[in-house]
Amino acid sequence: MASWLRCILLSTVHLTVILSVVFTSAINAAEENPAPIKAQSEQLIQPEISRRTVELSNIDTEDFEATVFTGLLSLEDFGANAVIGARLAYHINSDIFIEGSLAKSKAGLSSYERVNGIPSLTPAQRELTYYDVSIGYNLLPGESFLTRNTSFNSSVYLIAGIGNTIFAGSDRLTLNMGGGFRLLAADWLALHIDVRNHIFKIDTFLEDKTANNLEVTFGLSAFF
Amino acid sequence: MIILMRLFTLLATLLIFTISYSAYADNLIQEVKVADPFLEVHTGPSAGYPIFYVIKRDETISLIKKRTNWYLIKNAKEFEGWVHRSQLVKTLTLEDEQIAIKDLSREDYLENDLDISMIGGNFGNLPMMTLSGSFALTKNISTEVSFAQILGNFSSRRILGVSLIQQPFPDWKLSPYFSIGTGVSQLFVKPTISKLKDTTDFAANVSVGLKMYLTRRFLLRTDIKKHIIFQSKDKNEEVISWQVGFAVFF
Repeated sequence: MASWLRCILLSTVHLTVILSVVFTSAINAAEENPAPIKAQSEQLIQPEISRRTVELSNIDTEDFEATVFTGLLSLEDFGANAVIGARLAYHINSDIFIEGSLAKSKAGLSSYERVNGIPSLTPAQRELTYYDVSIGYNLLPGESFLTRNTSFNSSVYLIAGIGNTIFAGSDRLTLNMGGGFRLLAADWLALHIDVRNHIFKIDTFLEDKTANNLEVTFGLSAFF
Repeated sequence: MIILMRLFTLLATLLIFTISYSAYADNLIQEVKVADPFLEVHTGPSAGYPIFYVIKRDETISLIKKRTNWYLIKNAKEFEGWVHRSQLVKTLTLEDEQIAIKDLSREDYLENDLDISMIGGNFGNLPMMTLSGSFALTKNISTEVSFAQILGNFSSRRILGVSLIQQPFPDWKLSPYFSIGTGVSQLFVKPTISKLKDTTDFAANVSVGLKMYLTRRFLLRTDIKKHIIFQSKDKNEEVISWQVGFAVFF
């Protein structure tokens, strides 16, 4: 009897030991690899901060300047006449700009025509159109004082270029050169006074001669 | 002339209204933090305009607009003025991250689609000027529309053309190109030379040229072109032209 009782007791002890070893190792394993807890992956508070990014390409670039102008064009032999036109400039840097112009004018009567009473040009030939491409240089940037306390940014520039003048029935290769004064009324708005010489060859009086045609214009321009 | 004057007034008014309307759009203004020791604020967009204000490091400024290499800025105290790009190179975002305010470079040129060129030279022995605009279809191929004017003592000619340009090595510093084109040639004879008449003919051309990146938006461009003008006379007119000039890319 004692022997089978001992047998039962010993086997119970063995079983307990084995079970406890198995259980503890299982618990240890569970502690080492804890099951993912759902709450950790969900953020309880969403911070309401949006990052302020800087988009440099969004900044308004104003390198172009559009001008409308009017004034007087003194056509050699044909008197001084009204001129009207438009210009478009692209500012390469603060010193240099490229400019395209297109303008219209009309020739008056020359002294020869007045004296003889015979017109040497038809009305269509009297119409003048010129266009050109020029390079300008801002020679004297600075401030102009209107009163003691009111000043405007301004610039004196030199300009020269090449183009075409359609006058007296044909195209004429034309050089233009001169200068101007730009007064900035606002950052984007400017007033211009320009003096230019348009030089082309003319053969209306049967001999080729170089005509110097001085032009004085007032313009209003906007940067965009 | 009266119609022209009215048109002029209308144009001038329109110009002022449209541009003043879009002068300050808030979404275009960017806020940055100054990283340089100080910023020199000029009254205008050129070094020739006087410095009237100085902004210290860590101040927040708004970049309102840009003209050539100058930025119109405003600080918290509402002082407005112009700052050169070189002083903004180290500028930070409001989160203290570096942003690069860079000038245009050769990389921008290689990615450009559109350029406008103005070149001039000789057509036969007469002066020639050409204005053209080209649009890139692929990295190597582009199309071009051009207007050329040849001004002689007895006649003048205008050639309006379209062409296809192949640039085999766009990455090269001196990059060659080849083009073929077609167009219309108009010849105007001066009224004093009454025997000849004005004519309009079809024309074709082939050319070889070179493009070279200079700086910022600029390219140097040169071109040798053979023109064939299909005249109604027995013989076609063949003329070789050469031109040099520059191009601006956008």
